[in-house]
Amino acid sequence: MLKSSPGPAGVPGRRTGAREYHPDGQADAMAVAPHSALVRVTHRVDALSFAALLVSGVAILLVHPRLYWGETGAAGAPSLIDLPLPTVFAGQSGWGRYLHFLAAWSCVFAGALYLVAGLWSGHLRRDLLPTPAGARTLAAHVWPRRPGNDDDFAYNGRRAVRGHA
Amino acid sequence: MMTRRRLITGGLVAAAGASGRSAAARIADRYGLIPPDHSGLFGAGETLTYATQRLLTAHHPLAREFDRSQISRVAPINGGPPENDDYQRLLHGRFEDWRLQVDGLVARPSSFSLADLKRMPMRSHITHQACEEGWSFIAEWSGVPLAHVLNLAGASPAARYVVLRPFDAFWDSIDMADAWHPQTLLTYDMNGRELPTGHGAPVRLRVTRQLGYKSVKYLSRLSVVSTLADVGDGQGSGAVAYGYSWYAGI
Repeated sequence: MLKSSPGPAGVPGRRTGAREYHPDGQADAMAVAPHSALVRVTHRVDALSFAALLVSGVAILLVHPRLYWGETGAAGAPSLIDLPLPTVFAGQSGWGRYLHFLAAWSCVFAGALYLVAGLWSGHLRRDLLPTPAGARTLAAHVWPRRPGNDDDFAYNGRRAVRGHA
Repeated sequence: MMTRRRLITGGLVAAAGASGRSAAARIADRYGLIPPDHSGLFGAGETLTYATQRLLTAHHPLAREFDRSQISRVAPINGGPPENDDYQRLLHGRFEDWRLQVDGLVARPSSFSLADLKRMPMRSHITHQACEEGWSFIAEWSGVPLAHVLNLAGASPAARYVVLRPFDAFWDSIDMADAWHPQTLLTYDMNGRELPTGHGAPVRLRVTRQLGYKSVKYLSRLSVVSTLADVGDGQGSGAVAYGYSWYAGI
């Protein structure tokens, strides 16, 4: 449904974010297939939503620029962080909260659409899920194996001398 | 390329989308999932938030209650009491002549004195009052459940909202989910003492699952209605004109 041109996976012409490789093993830097329209649109909606969340979040913060630790907090009670602002921007949290919720919802819908379409089209499985070899490489970076026996790492006289040489 | 097949498929999808949307709107309206401030730029987000919260809390959970040791030492007051003559006269008379009117879609339009309310079953809870601006405090609130007063007056099954009329301009309304909620109180006592003037004497609402401005102070009248369209500007709350949402669920 989301493929813009027919053909099995791996055939040049399919539109994914994956880099295409030539059979002889040489990567061609120019042969990067563009992302699908759906991926691009949902990404841009998410980027816009994030900007709106940031702007409205700052507006909400500036109305009462104090952050508290614990169950409650108010002017006259201790605060964890007190932003040194010359004034508070009273009255800005109304539109701030309206916009914050709207932006959060557009994030949720764009994200859900991306996820469902990615599962449906196979984009997530094909292009984002690590290959078995990739998973092994990742595992090797996360849990590196020590080469040799522990004596190789011992801090002994020989290493101390070498360190000062 | 626009093939005939694609045209037919597209037409079917569009038709299904349009009828789906109008069906969704009908269902949402029937189950009270559309807030009065659903139009305008932020209306879609507001409707989604309200409908989702109402569906997730369809079992009417209670707001968290705290221990007496957690009651805040600082309980700020936002704004002063009403300055109009009506309120000032009642304040000087220690609210002897104050009455709470209950009218609208009720079998028995009534009016209750402060002493009447205090004779009714009392409920107390130690709950969190959070201001929309980002500060909060915990206090013990005591009063009569709004549900008890609605039952006394005989609220109609057609009731959808309770309009809260105070002595100042900050009128508001709540839906029946909050009106019947067991923690929603007509509060006359705070931390074991008479409700202080600045906190809304003689009686304020306490609605535990919404932000502070919904807990209307200085109450004078409750009206049970089936629609908010013809109440005030139709937005359900005096706060909407100042840019604040009608629904302030937390």
